[in-house]
Parts: sequence; structure tokens; C-alpha cells
Amino acid sequence: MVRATHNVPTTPLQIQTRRQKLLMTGGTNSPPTPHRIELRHDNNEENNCKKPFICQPPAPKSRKTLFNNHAVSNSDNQNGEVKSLSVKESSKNNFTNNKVNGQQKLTEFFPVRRSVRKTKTTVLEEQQLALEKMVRDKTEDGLEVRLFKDKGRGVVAAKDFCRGDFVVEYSGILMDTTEARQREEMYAQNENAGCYMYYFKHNGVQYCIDATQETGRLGRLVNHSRTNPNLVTKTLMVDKKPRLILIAKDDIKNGEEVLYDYGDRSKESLQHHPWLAY
Amino acid sequence: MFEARLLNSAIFKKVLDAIKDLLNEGSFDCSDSGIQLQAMDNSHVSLVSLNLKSDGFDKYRCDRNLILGMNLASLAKVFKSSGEGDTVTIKAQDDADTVSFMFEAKKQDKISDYEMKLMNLDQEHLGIPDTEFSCIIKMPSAEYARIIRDLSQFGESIVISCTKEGVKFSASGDIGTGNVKLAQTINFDKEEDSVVIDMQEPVTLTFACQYLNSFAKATPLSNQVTLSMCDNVPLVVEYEIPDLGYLRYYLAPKIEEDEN
Repeated sequence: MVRATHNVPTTPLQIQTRRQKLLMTGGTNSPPTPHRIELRHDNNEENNCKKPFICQPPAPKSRKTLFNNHAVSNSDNQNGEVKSLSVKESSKNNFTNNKVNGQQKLTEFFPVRRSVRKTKTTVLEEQQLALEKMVRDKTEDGLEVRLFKDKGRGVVAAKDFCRGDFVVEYSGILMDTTEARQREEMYAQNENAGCYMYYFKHNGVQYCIDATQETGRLGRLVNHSRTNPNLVTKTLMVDKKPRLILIAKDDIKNGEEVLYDYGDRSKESLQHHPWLAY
Repeated sequence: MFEARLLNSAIFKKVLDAIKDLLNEGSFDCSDSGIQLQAMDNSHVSLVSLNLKSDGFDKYRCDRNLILGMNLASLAKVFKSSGEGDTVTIKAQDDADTVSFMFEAKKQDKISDYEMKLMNLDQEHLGIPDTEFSCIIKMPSAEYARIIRDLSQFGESIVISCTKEGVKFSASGDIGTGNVKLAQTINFDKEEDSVVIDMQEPVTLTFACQYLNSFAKATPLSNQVTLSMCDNVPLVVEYEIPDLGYLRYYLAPKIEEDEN
């Protein structure tokens, strides 16, 4: 197959260059994918301006869990109390801390609300840290790859996810737009490359994550749905670099395919990939 | 603006008598649903939970939730000066640092006014989970007071053990042992004399006499007392305040010395 050469000047709009190339090669049967993934503006704004999302409502449940776990409330609540009083080692009992004549304290049974209750900011910080940890640990739990006969590979939930749960990272190589364009041109020549360029904006800076390389990570295999996505993309700063994470938009049942909106609405892409419309 | 009027000030007096043994001061949380107080004693072994519903008051108004922190000994002094059967009206402005009590005598044309300084108390609140209790014992409150008083002479702690045969209170010490057994008795003529035992599972728990005795100070509030027990859970001793709410005590169990 004859390839377009590089002497075509790069226009600022990537898609147009591609389109030109497509016309030149005339390869309409199996076009090198001219669609791209874009973080939709609405998502983007939500992401940048609004408060960090909440995985679960800040739980006043702690009291229930504390009930079965006295040890936690002990360490939490007994600040300032003398710990040196006859420490009893009772093999069967959980209560091994200070007791005078075996007398237990009420705070071992009931959590002190003030220390258990967290301010909104600490709750959010903790959620943020938990997310960062999951991204660093490359968490991909509860997901499996399945081959769909009409659309190729896709990712299916192997457990239930709750709305707001972290599902998977869209992992790849982070780059700026200039490099992304160069790469995209390069990929355009290879019809098997597919499109894994995810353009997004974080704090006003345009980035792209290139996941073209087969890495074994699952984020790049998640399919598109415009009408019925169950994931949303969020940007997350980890070690001062933006990362893309896919978060459950609704509760996801075990066995459901996970989908998100690629965000590409351009006519160009739609023409070649009519499935983008759905 | 907060205003609560209670026809019989004696009830409040009894409540104070019932809690001032355990607590030096208390924060009364006032909201439109009523007045609540929750506080632990200094040793953090027991907890007092008082709930007075707004419906139970003769007149009740609470525009904004407010916390009235009071020294209970001082409050007891104020109520001591009230006469039997006086009507009391408690008033506080939203941001005030004082609370006022007005007592109106029933027979005479006499009005006494007292104003007391509020305290800013920084008290710990405990989250008390709902518990399915294994045993719930309802018994005459005077009987409870009596048993605890008698057994306190024998030792520092009392073992309460509830089986399907009934409930057994026992204490032992240097001078010997004491056991009091109560079986379920339902008295239709005098309901307040009944002993009702609702048992799902047998429970045996040990408690310090000192606290059980302090709880008995609430005896004048109610004819009956309810003891709720569950393994490894604090005991709940509840006195219902007729038409007004309840006074509950929570007490952490003791671990028996010879357990291991």
C-alpha cells in the first residue's frame, strides 16, 4: 500500500491532515482511525472547577463498625488516660488495655463522636490519597477483558462497582500536544495502530495520553458509548503529573461492560466511525 | 429564644437528683424536639442520657438549637428553692450567657426568679449504636434499688445473670456472698410490681456496685426500671419519665478477674 509522505505540511487541525491522507490513499475500507478520544468539555470543567467527587458519603457508620472492633476506639479515644495501669492479658478477650479491677471504659464500646467525625476536607483528602494509591498501585481489580464479536476487545466488570468508585486508569504515555500530533501522524500510517490518543485539559494545559502501545493495562481497552456510558473520566494529579482515571458514573453490576464517552464529536470521525454516535 | 414550662417542677428536681451523683456539669441540648443531655462521668465508665420531649412540657418554644451548659450542683441549688408543686419556666435568649428559672407557686401568689450563669462546656459526645439486647428485664425500680443496696455490702461488684429461670444478682467479698434471684411475675392488679424478663439468650455480666447504686438515685422518677443486657455491651438502665421522656444510664461491664 502506498503511503502518504511527510511533505504534507502539518496543519493545526490534526484531523484534517488525516483526512487528506485518507483521501490520498483512498483507503476507505479500513481507514487508519482518524478519531481521537477527547475529554469532553463538560467533564473537563466539572473536573477542574468542581469539588473532588465523593466516593461514598462520609460515613457516620463508623459507630457500627467500631462496635465489632473495640481496638480502634480504644486507641482513638483514650488519649490522656493513664496507660500504665495493670495491663491485663486476657487470651479470649479483645480488651487488653488499661483496666482498674477489670473495669472497662464506656469509650471502648461507644466511639467518641468528635474524634470519629471528620471535617469535610479530611474526608476529601483521604479519598484523594486513596485514589492516588490505587493509581500508583495500578489497581485493576474486578475487571476482565472480553472479546466482543462486533467490536473487538472490551472490558467487563467482574464485580459490582458503586457509583463514584475508581474503576481503572487510562494509562499510557503522557505528552504535550506537539508530540501527540507527531505521533498521531506516525500512527496514521499504520492502519492496525487503532486510536488510543486521549486528549485532555488539566488546569488549562492541554495534554495527551498515548496508550497505543499494548501494555496489558486495561484502561485502553474500554469501549465507547455516547448514549449509555457507565464511566466518566477524571484527571488526577499523581506525583505532579496528570493521570486519567475512569470512575463509575452509576452503580455497575458484575458482568456489565464498562463504557465511557470518547468525546469525539467531529464530523470527520463520525463519518469513519459511525459507532461514535452511539 | 428558648422557653420551656413544666407544670411540675418536682420532676426536674428528681432528674437532677438522679444525675448529680455522676456528673458535675452537663450540657443540655435544646432543640425543637426537646431537651437532651448526654454526658459521661469523670472516669468514663458510665454515661447519662436524658431525653425530655417537647410534647411533655406545658409550653415549649425553641427557635434555634442551643446548648445550655450548667453546673449541676448550682442547678440543684436553684431547684432546691422551689416549692412542692411549683410550676417552672426555663428561659434563655439565643446568644445569652445566662439562663433564668421562674417558679410559680400553686397556691400562693408567689413568683421566684433565678438567673444562673451558663458554662461553656467542651464535652465529648458518644455515638451510641442500636443494639439488639439478649435480655431485657423490667422490674420495680424500688426492688432494683433495694437489691443493689443490699448486695453492695458484700463486694465491689455485682454479677447480673439472666437465664430463662429468671434474673440473679450476686456479689461476693470478704464477709461472704449474697444472691438475689427474681423470677418473672406478672401482676395484673399492680402492674408496677411485675417482673418481666424478655430473654433471647442467657447473659452474665459483672458491674461495679458504685455505679449501679448511683443509678438507683433515679428511683423516684419511675415505678419501673428496665435493664437491657447483651454480651460485651454496656448495660442500659432506663427509667421512663412519665409523659416526658426517659433517663438512661449506660455502664461498661467489668471483666471478671478469674476469667483466664
